[in-house]
Amino acid sequence: MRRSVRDREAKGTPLAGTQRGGEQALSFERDIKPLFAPFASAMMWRFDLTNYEAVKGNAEIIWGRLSNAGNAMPPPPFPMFTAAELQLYFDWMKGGCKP
Amino acid sequence: MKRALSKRAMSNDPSAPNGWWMHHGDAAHTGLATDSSIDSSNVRNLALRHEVLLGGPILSTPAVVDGFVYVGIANNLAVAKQNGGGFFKVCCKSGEVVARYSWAIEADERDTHGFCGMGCTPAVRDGKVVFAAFNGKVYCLSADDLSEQWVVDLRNADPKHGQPVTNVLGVDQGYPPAAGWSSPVVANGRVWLGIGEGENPFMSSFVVCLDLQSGDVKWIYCTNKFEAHRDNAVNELPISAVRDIPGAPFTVFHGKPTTMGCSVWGSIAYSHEFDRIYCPTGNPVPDGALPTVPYSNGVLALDASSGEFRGFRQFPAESSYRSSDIDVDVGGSPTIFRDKGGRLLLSLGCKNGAFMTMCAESLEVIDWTQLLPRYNDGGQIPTVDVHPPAWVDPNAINPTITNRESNETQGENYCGTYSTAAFHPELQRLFMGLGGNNYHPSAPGIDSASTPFIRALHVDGLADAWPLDDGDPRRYVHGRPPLYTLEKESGLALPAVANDVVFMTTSRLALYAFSVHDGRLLWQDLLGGMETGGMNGGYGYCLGPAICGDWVVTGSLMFGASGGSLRIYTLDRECP
Repeated sequence: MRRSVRDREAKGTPLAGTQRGGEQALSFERDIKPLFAPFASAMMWRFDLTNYEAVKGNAEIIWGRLSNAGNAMPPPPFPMFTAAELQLYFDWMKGGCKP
Repeated sequence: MKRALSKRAMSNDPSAPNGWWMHHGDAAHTGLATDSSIDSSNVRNLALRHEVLLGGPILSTPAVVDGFVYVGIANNLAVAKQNGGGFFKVCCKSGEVVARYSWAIEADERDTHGFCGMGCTPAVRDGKVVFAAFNGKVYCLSADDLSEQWVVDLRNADPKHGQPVTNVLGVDQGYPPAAGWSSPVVANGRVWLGIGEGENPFMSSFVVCLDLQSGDVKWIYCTNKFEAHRDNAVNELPISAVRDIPGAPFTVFHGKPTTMGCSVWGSIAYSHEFDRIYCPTGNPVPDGALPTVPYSNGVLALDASSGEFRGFRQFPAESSYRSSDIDVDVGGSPTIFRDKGGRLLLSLGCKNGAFMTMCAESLEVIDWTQLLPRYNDGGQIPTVDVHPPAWVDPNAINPTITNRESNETQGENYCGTYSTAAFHPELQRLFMGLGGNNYHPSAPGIDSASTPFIRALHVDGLADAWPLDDGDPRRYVHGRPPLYTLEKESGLALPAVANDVVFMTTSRLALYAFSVHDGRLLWQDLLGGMETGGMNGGYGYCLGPAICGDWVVTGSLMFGASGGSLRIYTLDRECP
């Protein structure tokens, strides 16, 4: 079973996105894909969120929907992203959307 | 029971093809299958022949002609960055894709909902297939092999087709660009459709007539009324939508129109008898409660050949479920039909929940009714057409709101109708889908306990045509389940009639067949989707069906799989 970012937060494990200092760049496979896994199937009508090229190509659009406070994705009944998860995605995007 | 009337006789168009060749079956949008043997005696033998995954969701009713399905997808997982559309020709017998066409777009060319492909029913006629796409372009392909014939850009000026409009104002401020939602209607070698975007306060809206052979513009009519004291002239364009002043036959209006918005979302209906088109219009910008400025929230009649103004009719203010209803677009399309006296009439539904019939020549209202239920003493039902006040958390799921609060708060009617009536000529009945989308947290698209997702009405007087019980509110006796049963099951789609059966698809996702006589459930197929959750009861659409001969076809957008599927049904002759 995927160990979610939320689980790691709860257990006090450092998030990849919080490891500043540049020794390890955020990666889609390791850090971002697991974030989307719970609702990737539900979002197939728009994107395949497990597809690196699709997420990279639409990174700004996805960020806009994740961070839209009034109409944020993912929709209910999925829990909204935590501030830490949003930061993780933002950092990955601004870091060049590494694979 | 075999039908005595053909589509040609119904529409008085001698050249009209049979089959489900465009939006709601024909240019009059009757929703009537005239060449099917499906009826109440055999519909139980209807069986799924093929489920076809096309690599994206289907957000439109397919067209079905000569044993082939013509259908597009709203997003395409197979193109670069998964931004684009695809169009397919599928053999009903084999379920195989026999031809395909795809296009990629830049991400910022998508529509306001995130769709990149197309979401209209194609028109298949004279060897051509025509459809509009969310990138604002109209595509014409060969019906044989889907090879490209012509493409016209209606978002940006396209000089080679005589198209002078550049309709992108406000896009740089984050507002959505013009998009093609309107299913094209084709007749007499011409194509008519609407183009615009009602959520952009700077954007103009237009009805465009194209030449079917070349794609060249024949005329353009702006649906934003320029001045209160006169109707717009054909080919009169707002200065905000042209970059270079066009030459004849176009003229430019240099002032500020009385309103923006007024987009034609639905499909335009065509009357061969009057050579007239009927264009359903959306809300104005800025918005308000009815009455609103012309040509918003009603139907605009234009001469089909010249584009000259012929009339406009708006839904009456008293037709809204609540006087606080705003954003009361006409999302569906007009249906043109004849009453028992031979008069040519027009019916139309509205997001405010109202439905009306009009004289097709004068647009005088004959009858109107409110489709949403009330208590027997006339009182409003609090859970119908909920308007959450400002103090309610916008993310709260289905908060309890009183009638008084809803009536004092202007808001969108989430429970109204986006449907288009299907017509049964012998019984003189109209069938309408009822209910909105389920993506608003504060209320679902339907109050299922009180509201049926399909209504059956007599043409004469618009009273209910199916038997009602003595409850409060009164509800249909038959057809439950599924009527009044599954919470949030909404009738966003368009009913379709074949002999004594009326089909209806819902947001469940499901396809049902009811008796036209009394509403008894005769057959069903539950596709699934709503139970997967998301939004307020599932984010899914099942659209159609289209009926051609004994083929019944639906398209769907749903969670999982590739985002949706095409389903092809036919009578299983070997079933008992």
